[in-house]
Amino acid sequence: MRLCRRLRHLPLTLALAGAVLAVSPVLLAAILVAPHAVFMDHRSRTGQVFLVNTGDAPEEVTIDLKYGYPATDSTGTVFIRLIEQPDSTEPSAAAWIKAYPRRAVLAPGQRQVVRLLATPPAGLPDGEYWSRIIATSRGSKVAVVGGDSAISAGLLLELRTIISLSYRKGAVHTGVAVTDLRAIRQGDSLVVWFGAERQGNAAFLGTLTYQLVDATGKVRGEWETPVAVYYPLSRRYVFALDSVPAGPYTVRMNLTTARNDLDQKHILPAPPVTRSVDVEVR
Amino acid sequence: MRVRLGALVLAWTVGQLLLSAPGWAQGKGVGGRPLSALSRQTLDFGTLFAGTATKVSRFDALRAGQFELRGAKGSEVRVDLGLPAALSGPRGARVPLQFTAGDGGFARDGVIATAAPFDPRAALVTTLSGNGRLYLFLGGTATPAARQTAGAYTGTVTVTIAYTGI
Repeated sequence: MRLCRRLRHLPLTLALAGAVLAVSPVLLAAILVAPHAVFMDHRSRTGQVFLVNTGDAPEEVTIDLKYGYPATDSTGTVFIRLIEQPDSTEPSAAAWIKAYPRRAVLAPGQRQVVRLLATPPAGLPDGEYWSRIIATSRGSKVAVVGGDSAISAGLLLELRTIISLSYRKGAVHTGVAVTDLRAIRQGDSLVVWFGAERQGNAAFLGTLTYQLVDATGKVRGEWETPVAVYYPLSRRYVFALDSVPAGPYTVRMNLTTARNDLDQKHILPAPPVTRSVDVEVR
Repeated sequence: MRVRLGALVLAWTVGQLLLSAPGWAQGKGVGGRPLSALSRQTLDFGTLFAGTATKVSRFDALRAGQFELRGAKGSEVRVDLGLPAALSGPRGARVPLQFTAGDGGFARDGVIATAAPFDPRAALVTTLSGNGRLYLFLGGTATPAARQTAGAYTGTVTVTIAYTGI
């Protein structure tokens, strides 16, 4: 009897379960590349990257290494500068680090380990050497339907995920010099120009914090972003001034090597840098 | 033993969903969340008619291209879209594509209707949401010629993503 009563609700339950499945999105292409930053050293000369197909269809993934680093253009926008043929003065590791395998086809849910092996040139000076790992995934082809007399169209998708690779040999140290800090109000936004140069023989990886402080010393806004300084940067940041009342303010900038996205053992210490600049909000 | 059959079915269903969901834990890097891109829907022009331009709005929930990025909450990313100038078809025939400043949209909550505009021909540098998500929407226009050769036409959209702070 009790079972019959329960079975009476089964169609409703199955319908509900079906509805839940129906709204579950279909992932045409999805690839996860981890970690987002690879650190290798001269003692082990090895590293690894995980590829995971989190989608619902097979993915063909290729791995390329190219020399590159974050840079800024004339508008202060950050981009990853990739250099195909770096000259000998550039600290490129792209030519002597190999990935195995360089190509894999991953079934849905499948995970692939890509091993990295460094064969640096003899007599490599102490320092940090850089590359970018580019994982390119191509999903299965889109079905293009239509009769012989029709014009049917379909688009394929290619996903490229770029992560960093740092190879450290011997004594590495870093630091940063802030070369520019300007702040202006533009419309309902605060625009901050930030310039910095790396010191030492390794990239500066840190966190940049801005505080907007009013005349009474009260913090009216705070923004935080990871920052990487490989070569001189001139970044333009735009922050919303949603409910900040008009008046004189000070923008306080604090730059430290604290990073909550990196393992502490990979963080190179450097003295924090603090600056401030006045800005009028009208 | 009071076991509800319905609850078991529902639990199994939810379990299947969780198992098939993107497995962050297994691929998580040391100390940080890896960046991941997902395509939920490709830009779909469907069947075209010779001499008639077909425009897909970025607000079109059924035909607009829809992508999702996942990563560390609040982190800054750069997204570059590589957009084809044309679709390629039989015997070298081509259907021109156009992407304009209003054809890109991005949202941190996934709502297509309220997504902010961006020019898909330029880079998008923005931050992921408080739960590490960013949703992109893409529209465009296909313009077949009056005497366009019939057949299947394809092109490739490339989505390049990178954290800016590493």
